[in-house]
Amino acid sequence: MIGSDDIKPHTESAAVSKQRLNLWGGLARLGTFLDRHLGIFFLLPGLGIILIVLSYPVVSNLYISFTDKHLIYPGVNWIGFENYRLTFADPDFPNSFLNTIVFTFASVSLQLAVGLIAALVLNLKFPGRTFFRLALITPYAFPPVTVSLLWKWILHGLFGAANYLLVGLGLIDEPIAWISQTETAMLMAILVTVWFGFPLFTLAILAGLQSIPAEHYEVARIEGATPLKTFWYVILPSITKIIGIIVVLRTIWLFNAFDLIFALTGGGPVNATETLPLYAYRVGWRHGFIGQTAAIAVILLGVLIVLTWIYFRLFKIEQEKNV
Amino acid sequence: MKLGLTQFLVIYVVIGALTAFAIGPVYWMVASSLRPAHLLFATPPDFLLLEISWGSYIEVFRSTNYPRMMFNSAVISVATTAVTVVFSAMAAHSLARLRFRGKILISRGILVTYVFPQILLVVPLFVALVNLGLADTHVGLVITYLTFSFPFAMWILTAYFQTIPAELEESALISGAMRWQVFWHIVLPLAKPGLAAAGIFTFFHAWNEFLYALVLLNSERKATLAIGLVRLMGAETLDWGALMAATTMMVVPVLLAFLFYQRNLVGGLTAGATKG
Repeated sequence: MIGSDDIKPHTESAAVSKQRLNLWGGLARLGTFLDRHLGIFFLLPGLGIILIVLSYPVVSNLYISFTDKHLIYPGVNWIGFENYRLTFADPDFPNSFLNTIVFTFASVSLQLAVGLIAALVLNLKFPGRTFFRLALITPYAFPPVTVSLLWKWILHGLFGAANYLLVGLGLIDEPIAWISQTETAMLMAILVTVWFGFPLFTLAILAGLQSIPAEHYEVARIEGATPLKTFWYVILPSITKIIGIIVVLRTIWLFNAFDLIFALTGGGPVNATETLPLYAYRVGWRHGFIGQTAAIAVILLGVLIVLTWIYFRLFKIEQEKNV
Repeated sequence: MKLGLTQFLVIYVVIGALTAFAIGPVYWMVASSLRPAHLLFATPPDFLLLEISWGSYIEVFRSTNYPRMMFNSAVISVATTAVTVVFSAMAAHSLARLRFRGKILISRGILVTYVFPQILLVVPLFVALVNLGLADTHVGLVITYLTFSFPFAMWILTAYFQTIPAELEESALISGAMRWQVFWHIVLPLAKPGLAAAGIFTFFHAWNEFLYALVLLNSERKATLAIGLVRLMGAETLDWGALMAATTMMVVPVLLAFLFYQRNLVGGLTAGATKG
């Protein structure tokens, strides 16, 4: 229905219609004002979100790390550095720290190695390349918990396909409980993350390789460079930057990884695969000391910042100039 | 570069081994989900899948609330994607175009938040959402998902908007268009690939997320697929055939979307990676 205002506009007094004119004029001016400063108004909701969901929690986490905040019991007391002292005194802390380092670096190196080989091969021209390209990036699309579940079944001690294949090929004498054995569990966590993670390296490096002009190869060929020299002087320099970026991102990701290991081993057996995030989670949500979880998280962030800084120096990743 | 027969042979051996490593497990997952119960634990395993049965899938629907979990995951992922793409597109465009003091600080700050460990944010977010009465709600969960989806989308989109020539927008402004019209009719259509990449990645991240859902959602009715699946495994009510059926059903939607859009996604990602 049309509003009653619209039916009898001619009966309005002069004062009302003038007022209305002012209203419209005001609105139009407001519209122009908003539009002229659209950049700022577009930025505000985003900044608001960042402040509320990121800045506030970081500060709040720092505060909580100095309190005895408990998961269930009410009441919060300031206890200074007690949570940090407890963490450094806990023998599980160095264990999980070491596990995180081993897990992260072994996995990143292997992901890079496998991803680089795959990219170099995929960059050649051979029949069926598109199929192999799609096949090789498939693992990247898997949700981390499904990766864990799927590999848990493959590596199953009694009915796993891996054991059957390895025994059949004569590589092992009898089935091995890969995941529930302290000696092999970490190795399996690394294997599983390599499966999931190498495609990102492949994709990124492949994009880098395809940006190398054909003339560069041509020059190398005319100069009579060996394949190894071509790789070292033509290919490698043009992909170091993208490799650097992906290595940094992957290191951060693996350092913080929770779901994959949690679903695969739960940190076990006997803390053999417990990395820092799992340790922090256990302290807070199994034992209830979320104040200490906050403290462990602060330590974790500290380590991560140092690591990232070293990487930036190592790969000479320049600060963004134009952003 | 001409390749000889030996070189071709080497290529196919290497690529064959890599492919077996990459999709062998995928085949095994699907094959196990379609295997009749009496063959699940057979030795030797039924590698070729000579007999097919949908029994495991029926079992998943019969003895779990799988459809509910799938619905929850879909709703949460769509909501996270909508909020993220709308607000990050607006903010990223401003960041790419505006000249103001503190801009570099803001864009670096956003990049830094990408480094924040989930475990760093989980305690304060949990405490805040409990205090607000939003624990065990999907709204609360979506708020926590913005912590990772928003910086990531901003990162991709800021880089993307910078690839669009500013002259296009300026000439439209000179001919009298309003700024929002320029944004709506010129910028957004040109940014479609970037928006698609940001949206799909956000959807994936939300669909896959585990830790926040684990600590925030207690009731079984509200569980997402990611935590539901791990709880099913822990509960040992399903055999491995049914677990693989449940896993396959969580993977298939994202896998299809990924393979369909992969060129687009890689473009968006590498644009973000090299420009950011």
